[in-house]
Amino acid sequence: MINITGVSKSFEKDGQKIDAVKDFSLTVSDGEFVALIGPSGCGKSTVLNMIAGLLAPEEGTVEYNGDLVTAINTSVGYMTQKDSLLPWRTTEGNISAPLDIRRVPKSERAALVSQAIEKVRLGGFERHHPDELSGGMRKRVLLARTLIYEPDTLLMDEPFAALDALLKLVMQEELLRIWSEARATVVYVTHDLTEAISIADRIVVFSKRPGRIVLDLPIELERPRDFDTIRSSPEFLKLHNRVWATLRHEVVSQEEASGEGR
Amino acid sequence: MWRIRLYQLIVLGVFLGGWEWVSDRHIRTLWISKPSLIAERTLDWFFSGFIYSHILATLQIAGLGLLIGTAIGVVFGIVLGLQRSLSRLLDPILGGAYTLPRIAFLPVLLFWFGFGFRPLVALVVLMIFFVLFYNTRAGVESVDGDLVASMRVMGATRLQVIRMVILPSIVPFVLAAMMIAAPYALVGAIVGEIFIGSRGLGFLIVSSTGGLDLTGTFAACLVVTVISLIATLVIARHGPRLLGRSPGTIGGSAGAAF
Ligand SMILES: Nc1ncnc2c1ncn2[C@@H]1O[C@H](COP(=O)(O)OP(=O)(O)O)[C@@H](O)[C@H]1O
Ligand SMILES: [Mg+2]
Repeated sequence: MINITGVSKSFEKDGQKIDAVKDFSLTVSDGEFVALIGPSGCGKSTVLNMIAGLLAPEEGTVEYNGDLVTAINTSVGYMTQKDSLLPWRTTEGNISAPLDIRRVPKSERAALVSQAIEKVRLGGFERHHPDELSGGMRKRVLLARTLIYEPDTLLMDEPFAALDALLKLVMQEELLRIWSEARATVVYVTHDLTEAISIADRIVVFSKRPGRIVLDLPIELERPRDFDTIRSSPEFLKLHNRVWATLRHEVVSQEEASGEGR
Repeated sequence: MWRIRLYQLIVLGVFLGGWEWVSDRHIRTLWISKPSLIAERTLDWFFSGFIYSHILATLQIAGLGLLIGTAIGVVFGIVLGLQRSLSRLLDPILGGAYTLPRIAFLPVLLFWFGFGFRPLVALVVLMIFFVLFYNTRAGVESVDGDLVASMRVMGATRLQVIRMVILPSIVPFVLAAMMIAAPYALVGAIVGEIFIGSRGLGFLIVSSTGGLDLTGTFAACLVVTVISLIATLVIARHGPRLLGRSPGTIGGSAGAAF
């Protein structure tokens, strides 16, 4: 259970104070798959960073399973927006990093790593370095590395944004397949509305900066979801239109605001 | 290209020929020696085996100083690379120290470390410390902050972050700095020997000159030049390969998430 209450966080940029989020509150229940969506720069990554304990809020509190988050939160798995693989380690080496950190005995490591590799379908690429992998494969490595230590919560920051449309679909399906087994809580940041509706239990729409919640909508589409049929269903279109009406307003006014600033 | 090379050879030939011709005819050989004598002496040193212990002595001092200076520079570079505020605090002091003439400290080093090779190694360390320190710090500062952050969230302690992320990231920076520092280490060792050596190439230079044996002085300088050339060639040939698989990543700040 994640409990964010009234948090604010600002940054200093070129001597100017920028409010990233202001008086922001959000509660995520255990096992829930929540998508955060909003215009870029509205503070989504900032919120994830606060849940991970990488950033401290200036006001308000972040609670994780009832405890105040005051240090780095190692109960979560965090797929950051940027690709954070170790370039000098192979696929295997990268995936076993959390096990190395936890000093899991070498004998157990190999089995866990090959299991994880199978789960994200990276067989045959165990000995490759990140620069020898495609963008989609690197995301799989990141996913495997995040899942291997079985965190209760996954924080995912636009994990598949850089992938082409087809690959993205494949990755979303795999994520859901893996999630249905692991049943972790997921906080999933995206700026892709179709993606958000297809995979999440609930969509939270951010306003433009400073981020507030302007819409919090449950997605009551049946699971397991088949993307092909779901995306042409009338419920999907209704949800899409509903969220888009709100989101569009925020994106447009964000554009205007940044246009005036220049 | 071959044309330039040819001209270069001609210039060198004219210079050496002129020197050879002038010596003893217009200027006494005592003052300027003679290319043929210098060549003869150099070859003699190599064939008689006389020179090797001196070369070895100088290389030992330069090498030891390079290793110790690298270790100290890397430790300081890592600490200050991760502690931005401490780094900013010390920056002017370090900048000032960087401009100090290091050779001026030789008497102090002599006082601290006594005679023998220790003050010379210390001088080499002083000569190369800053190159290693500044490069290492730049390497640490260039480590991707997201990389560090994700390791921390995975449960890594600070020490684990240093071992798993920082150290591998700075390898190319440290190797590059060592390549830049190597000639300085050699110069430091030789200059030190000139002042307080009892063997080594610097000692050979100063003792030959002291005995009014300029042939020996020039021969020793020739040996130094040859060694520097070999070192430069080796670095130029093998350096890029050592740096080839550069593990470092660019951008971001390790210190922030650390
Ligand atoms: N480390 C930082 N330094 C300065 N400004 C930052 C920093 N991190 C985020 N910001 C600013 O805060 C705002 C929100 O950022 P972020 O949370 O990354 O937005 P999002 O993930 O929604 O695109 C942006 O305007 C961004 O420029
Ligand atoms: Mg972001």
